[in-house]
This record gives sequence, C-alpha cells and structure tokens, in this order.
Amino acid sequence: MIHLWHDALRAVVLILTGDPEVWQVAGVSLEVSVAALALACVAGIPLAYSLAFSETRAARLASWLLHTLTALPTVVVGLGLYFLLSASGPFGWMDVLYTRVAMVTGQFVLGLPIVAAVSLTALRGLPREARETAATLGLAGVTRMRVLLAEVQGPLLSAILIAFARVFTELGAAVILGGNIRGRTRTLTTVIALEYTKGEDARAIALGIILMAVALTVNAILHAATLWRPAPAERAPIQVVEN
Amino acid sequence: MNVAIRSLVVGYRDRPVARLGDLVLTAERVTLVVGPNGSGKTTFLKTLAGLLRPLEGTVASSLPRGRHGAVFVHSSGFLFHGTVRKNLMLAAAGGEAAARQAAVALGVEALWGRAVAELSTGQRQRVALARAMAAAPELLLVDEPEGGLDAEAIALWGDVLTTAVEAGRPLVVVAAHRPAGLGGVPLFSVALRRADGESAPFVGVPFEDRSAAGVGEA
Repeated sequence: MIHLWHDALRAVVLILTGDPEVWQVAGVSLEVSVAALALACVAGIPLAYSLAFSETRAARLASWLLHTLTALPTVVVGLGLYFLLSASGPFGWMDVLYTRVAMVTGQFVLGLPIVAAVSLTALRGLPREARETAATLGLAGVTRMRVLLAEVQGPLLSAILIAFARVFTELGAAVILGGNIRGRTRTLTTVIALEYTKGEDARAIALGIILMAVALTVNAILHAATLWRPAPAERAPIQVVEN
Repeated sequence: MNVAIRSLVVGYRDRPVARLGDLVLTAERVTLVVGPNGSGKTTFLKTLAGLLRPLEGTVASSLPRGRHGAVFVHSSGFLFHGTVRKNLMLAAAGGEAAARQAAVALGVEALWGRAVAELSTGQRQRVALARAMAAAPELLLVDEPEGGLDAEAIALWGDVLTTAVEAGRPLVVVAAHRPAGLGGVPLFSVALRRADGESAPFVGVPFEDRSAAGVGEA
C-alpha cells in the first residue's frame, strides 16, 4: 500500500512538472483519435442516413452488420489490419504500418460501426410525420438530410461521444498498428502498457490519470454544450387546499 | 387548377381503407372530407398529397410538377425542432417576406423567434398551417385542423380559406369531424360511409345539399 501511495505522489509530480514526453504522447492520442472519429462521422452518418429509410433486404442486412461490428475486439482489428498493411500483405506497398496513419485506420474501423449503428437506430425512430413533412415541403438532398439529422441531434451526439470514448481509450489496435515508437506512435494507452511492463508504476499511474482526465473532460464539454438550455420558470409547490 | 380522381381506392399495402370512385375537385370550392374515425380521411388526403400511392385508380392534377405542388398538414401540427422561424423559412418559396406574411395570416407573427418546444398545441397547429401557406402550394391538404384552435385562430383560418377560394389557389381539401371555420366558404363535401359491413372499405359519397350556411359551427 505504501508503494502505491508513493507512486501516486510521484505521478502527480510528473503531471504538475509538465514532463514534455507525457504531453507529446497525449497529443498523439488526441490527434489520432480525433482524426479517426472525424472520418468515422464523415463516412458513418451519411451511410446511416442512406440506410435508415430503406426497407430493402440489403439495408436490413447492412443494419445488422453494423450493429454486430460494434463488438469488434480492438486486437482483432489491429491484427487484421496488420496483415493487410504488412510488407507481405496486399497493401504493404503503401508502407503505412507503424505510422499514425495505420493507427487512424484502425480506430476508424472501430469507431465507424458505433457512429453508423446508433445514428441509424435514431433515424429509424423518427416519427413518420417528420419524413412526410420533409417530403411535402419539397425538401430534398442535403437540406432534407440536414433537417432530419437535426431532429435526432441528441442521439447523434451520443453516438459521437461513445465512439470517441472507445477509440481514445483503446489499446489493441494502437499498439499493434503503431508499434509504440517513441516520439511517433506512442499514445497514452500504449505507453501505460509499456511503463507497466517496465515496472515504472509512477509513470503508468500519471499517464492513467491524464488519460482519464482528458477522456472525461472532452466528453463532459461536448455533452454540456448540448445540455445547455435556458432555465425554466420557478415552480411554486402545489398547495393543498383544506376543505 | 383541379384534381381529377378516377376509380380511386386508397389504403395501405395489406388493406384497402376507402373507395372514392370518380370525383373532380376544383379550387373555387373548399373540399371537405368527413367521416368517422378510421374511415380513411387521412389516408385519402395523404394519397392526394402524393405521400401514399393509390391502391387502385388514379389522381391527376393540373398542377405542374414542382417543388411546392401539394402540401399536407398533419393533425398533430408536427413541427421540426428549433424555432418557428426555422420552420417557416424551410417552407418559404418566397423568402422571409412570404414567411412573415404567412405568420401574420395565422396570427403567429409574435412567435417568430420562439422555440417550437415552448409552444402550446394550438400554437403549433397555427404555425403548421402558416408553414403550409408559406410554401405557396397549389394544393393544400389539411388533416383535422380544428383540434387545438381557439376562436381567433378559427376565424383567421376561415379568412385564409376565403382568400384561397377567391384567388383560385390553393385548392384546399380539409378532413374534419366538425367543420369549424368553414361557414361562409363554398364547399364541396365528401362523406366517407360504411358500405358493406365491418371489414369492407368505406365509400366516399359526395353530397351537394349541405350548403355552406348549414355548416359552420365554431
């Protein structure tokens, strides 16, 4: 127990003294996850929209597939992409293995199903009147998409936050595809794993605290931005009138 | 502007709801569709609006195919999230001026910047009607509008109908239980009645002997 407290104190010191390597690693984490998430939204939301109002077998199959893929284990994604991107693999010529590009690809594969599946469910849940009103007012194309997505902005934001949480905190794909190279492909999660195996508990704890703090802060900010509403009027307590 | 209906049967994929036969609707009279619950009023109006396909028969209108040909207003007064302004501007073919004018016609110009979530049912219905008018449609289909409207709104709505009839557009079709606000407006009425028993489709029967003066309790 004393050991743990000792390490925890050293961790706080590391954070407060602004160890540059720690912040560089945090930067890589954010850069990779934000890029992957942005791509997942750009691909996933229109995909969900195109499937949401279609009753064809293909659409139903795609919906099932997307939901199932949300459960992809991170190491499986890492391993699968590793074989595709390795020197002897079909995309080896691109030479992106052990770079941040490969890591973004892995996190994109992890984040896309979440964004798409949740958005799809939200859009399918829209009342019929929403689509009918859009049709009857002659809304089409991008305007129609914009309006209908605005109708489900709550669930849409949840989808994005959940996907961010997943990709920002995952280890399996980042470590396999990035190779944990100092100064280039180390993220908060991969370094925590590394420091833990080296027995550097203080550093691991410090990074763990930072990881939690960043993840929770980003989510809190985005969530609060949507929750802000003007305060409702004061409510007087109901008076019971004695007869 | 007129709408010619031939041998029309409306309903859903597994179930015909009403048989309308042959009818011609013109803009110089407001078409009133009455009938009990489940008789197919909404289904008929949605078919006229192009939101549903006819099960049999055809609906032919003389309006050019275009953006705001036919506008349907739900009985719930459905509005998109956001403000009254957003809803009206989405519809307004003629820009902000047309949108504001439509708001004034239904007495909701004071609600322009308000969030839809804060409106009462009646206010929503007024805004939904204003939005439909802002779209400057050739054919306007209104499903049971009298629900939440107060006396002032009903009077304003009556003025809108009178103006439409006099101007020759839009051609208005209203589905209602109680035809409120329609006093003083020339009407063409269609009643949906049960024909052959419990499970057969309703049948639309035009009736001309109801004069506008006879209809029109508020």
